[in-house]
Amino acid sequence: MTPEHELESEDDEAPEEVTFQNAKSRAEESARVKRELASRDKALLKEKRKRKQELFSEQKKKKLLPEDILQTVTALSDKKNEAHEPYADTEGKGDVEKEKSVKKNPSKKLRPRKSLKNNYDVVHLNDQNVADIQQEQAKQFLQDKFYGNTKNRTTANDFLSISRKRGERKMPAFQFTDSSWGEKEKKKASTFNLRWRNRKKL
Amino acid sequence: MGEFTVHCVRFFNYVPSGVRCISYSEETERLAVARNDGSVEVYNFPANYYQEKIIPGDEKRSTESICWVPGGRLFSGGLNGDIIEYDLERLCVKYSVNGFGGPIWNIVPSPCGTQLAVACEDGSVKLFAITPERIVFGKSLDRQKERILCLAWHPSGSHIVAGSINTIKVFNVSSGHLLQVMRMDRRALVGQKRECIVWGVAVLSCGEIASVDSSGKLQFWDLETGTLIRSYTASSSDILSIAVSPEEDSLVIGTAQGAILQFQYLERQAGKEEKQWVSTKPFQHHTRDVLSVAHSNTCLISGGLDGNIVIRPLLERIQTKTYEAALRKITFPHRNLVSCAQASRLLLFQFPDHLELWRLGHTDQSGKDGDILPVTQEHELLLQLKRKGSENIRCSCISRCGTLVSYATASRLFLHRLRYDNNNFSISKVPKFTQPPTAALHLKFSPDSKQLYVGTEGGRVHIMDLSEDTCQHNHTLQPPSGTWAASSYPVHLLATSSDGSLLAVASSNSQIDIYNVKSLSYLCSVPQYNSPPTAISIHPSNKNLVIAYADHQVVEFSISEKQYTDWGRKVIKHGLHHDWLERDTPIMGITFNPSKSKTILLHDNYMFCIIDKSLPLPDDKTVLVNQKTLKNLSVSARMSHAHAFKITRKYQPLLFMDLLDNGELVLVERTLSDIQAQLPPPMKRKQFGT
Repeated sequence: MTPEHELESEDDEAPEEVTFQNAKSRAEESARVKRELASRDKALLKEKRKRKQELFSEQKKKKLLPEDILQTVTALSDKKNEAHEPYADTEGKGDVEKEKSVKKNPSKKLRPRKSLKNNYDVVHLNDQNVADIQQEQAKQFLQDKFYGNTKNRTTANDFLSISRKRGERKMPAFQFTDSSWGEKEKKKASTFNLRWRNRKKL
Repeated sequence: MGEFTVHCVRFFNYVPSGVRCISYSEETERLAVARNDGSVEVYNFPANYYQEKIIPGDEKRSTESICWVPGGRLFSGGLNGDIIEYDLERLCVKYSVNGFGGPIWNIVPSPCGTQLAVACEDGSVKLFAITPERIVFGKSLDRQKERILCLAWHPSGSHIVAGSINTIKVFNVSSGHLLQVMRMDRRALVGQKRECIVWGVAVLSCGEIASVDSSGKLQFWDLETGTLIRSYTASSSDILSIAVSPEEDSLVIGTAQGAILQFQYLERQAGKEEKQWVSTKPFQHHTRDVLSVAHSNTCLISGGLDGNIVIRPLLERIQTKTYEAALRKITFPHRNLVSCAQASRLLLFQFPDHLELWRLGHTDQSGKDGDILPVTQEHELLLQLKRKGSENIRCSCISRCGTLVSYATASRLFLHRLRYDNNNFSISKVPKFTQPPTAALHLKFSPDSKQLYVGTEGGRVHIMDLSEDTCQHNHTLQPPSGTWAASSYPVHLLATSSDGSLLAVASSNSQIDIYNVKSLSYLCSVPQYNSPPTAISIHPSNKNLVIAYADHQVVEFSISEKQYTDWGRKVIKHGLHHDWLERDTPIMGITFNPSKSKTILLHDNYMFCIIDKSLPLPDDKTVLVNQKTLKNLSVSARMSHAHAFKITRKYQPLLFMDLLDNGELVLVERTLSDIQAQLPPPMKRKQFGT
């Protein structure tokens, strides 16, 4: 507290006199309140988490069928497998089913349990072999060479319009004679017009 | 009120697939065309350029190059790395051999036809020996770094020239070593060197190499020394293809702007020995890139990304300057992609990868001749049926009552049942369905929808019995063994009589057999003609078979008397009008008007015709297309000028025609500008004042 500061302040009153004891007790009080608040928040959060956890477990239980049904189902599928074994050579439905059931069991065991977000998919890199990559590259090469940046391509619309303009029988540009051209744009324009009219109260 | 209420259908959204490569065989006079959707077509040149065979494509194989090998064998190579031989009798892939060099860019047979050179993505040129059954890998030439895009054999078979990126390479065939490397001029573009891609090479017997590249140059090189002899800047865009005539006095190139240019080897001055290549004729028949050209003895053939095949006969090589010298442009397929359920007013459109089922619109008003009636019920798309698997659809059919839809791919036949109750519409697969013993090439339902006729290889027809939920093979109609060579030709057309008792089966060698389907017995055959039939139909009341051939002849055959009818004989004796015989496209559909038994309705791509058998046939002095002038004449004068062929060109290009049960006529049109609007983007061409 410098005298300059005192001079600058607009208040004419002298600063309030606070004893050291008083200040200390006040500071302690405020610190305690803060600590209490923090602990209460923590407890609340804990409670919330606990409730959520309970909800999850309850949902999981709901999803699962009752224990006895599950057991019967597993028993049945085992029986089915056994029943189909003798018909392994016969063709038709049984064969297909058997294949399915045989396929399903090991795949379920082998597949690692991983949760992925919706947009992602697990792919074996080996599946996309060299031939496919080469084919892809060849197609890309053709695409670049025919329709790449360096090629001076125009649109079918321009092309037809110019040929109509330069032809012996002069005709309007293609988009004006072909009703199916640019349907999206026309729809957009009509809705815009409608809105505009509504806005202007015409 | 006119004779017919006409449905002018314009919602068939057909876009031809671009032509990727073509190959012409002087030996068999056939043109093979491979399209971007993987399908392969064979055109028969002596029979008026008729599209004789179609092998449907597959999504998994794309064709980059196709070639004929002596003996009428057809090979193709594609980006999936397989070399395929086609079975032209069963219309399918005979076998495929992997080249083990990655995607294949070009395959060329050696001049003697014993070896097949294959240009691969990995920079190798592989030689396969052609044996009667298969092709066998022989050897590989020196492997290069860059992909090899095009190949050409020296006419003596001693050298192979390969075009790559920025370079042309010459190989010795016997040693397999690289002899010469010729580097292309890489025109700089704003400080950056541009790649120069050699799109095509050809070797002349004098030892000169002709090459075309992406800088728009046609260049001639010396094979021995590897030096540039002459260079012509022929186009401002890429030049994509080159072909040399068998006599080597003319060559043709195709550009990305859709132009084809002919160069001829001519004397510099009259009477002097010295000759030079001179650009003589530019033609602009295509709107998109010309990816492939061929040069036969008498004509230039080009196929473009716009789906057109153009045959330009060279006038100096043809003695008679007549119909044969006219330009031919093939845009539409010579087979029906549309089928009609006459009883329930449905149309089934066939696309390579799906089917579309539409219900026709309806009007309850009537008007004068030529009026356009307002539609009270709009046409609607009922169903879009996607194919199963990767194979393209070969043929499709809807039953007369509209409750059954069948389609076939190269390997499988599919049958679906449709149900309509009030506004509900449902489709279900026929549950108990057995595949016919051999692949289906042509499909037709019997008029009562109780049987499905499946035309297949060797002129045979499988009869499949249909009930509510089953479809089983019942019987196979075999052509009688006495008819010559009938066993090797596939079924091309089928026609049933309206009471369902008769079935006419036509093969592409113009063998037409007639069977009684009720007793499953062979009845008779039509006398064989030298041109393939393009459309057949059986008259509903008098059971006469009307046949249109590829050389535009129309004949009528009486099945009950097993001979040509009187009218048919009269037509053959009198001959048809020369304007009729000089049309461009074959007759694609024939139907009859049950209310007027004396008339025949037929159409090709550019006209619709009603033949009135009671009127006299036109001779060459009368005008063939005279309907407009007749309209202005008085009634008595009209009678004296009228002739049997009543033709209108009002509806074109016409893809399909049929008569509904209530007497309404359905005409399916596809305008060329609609197709143009949906093709891939063209090259920009600067035109003055635009």
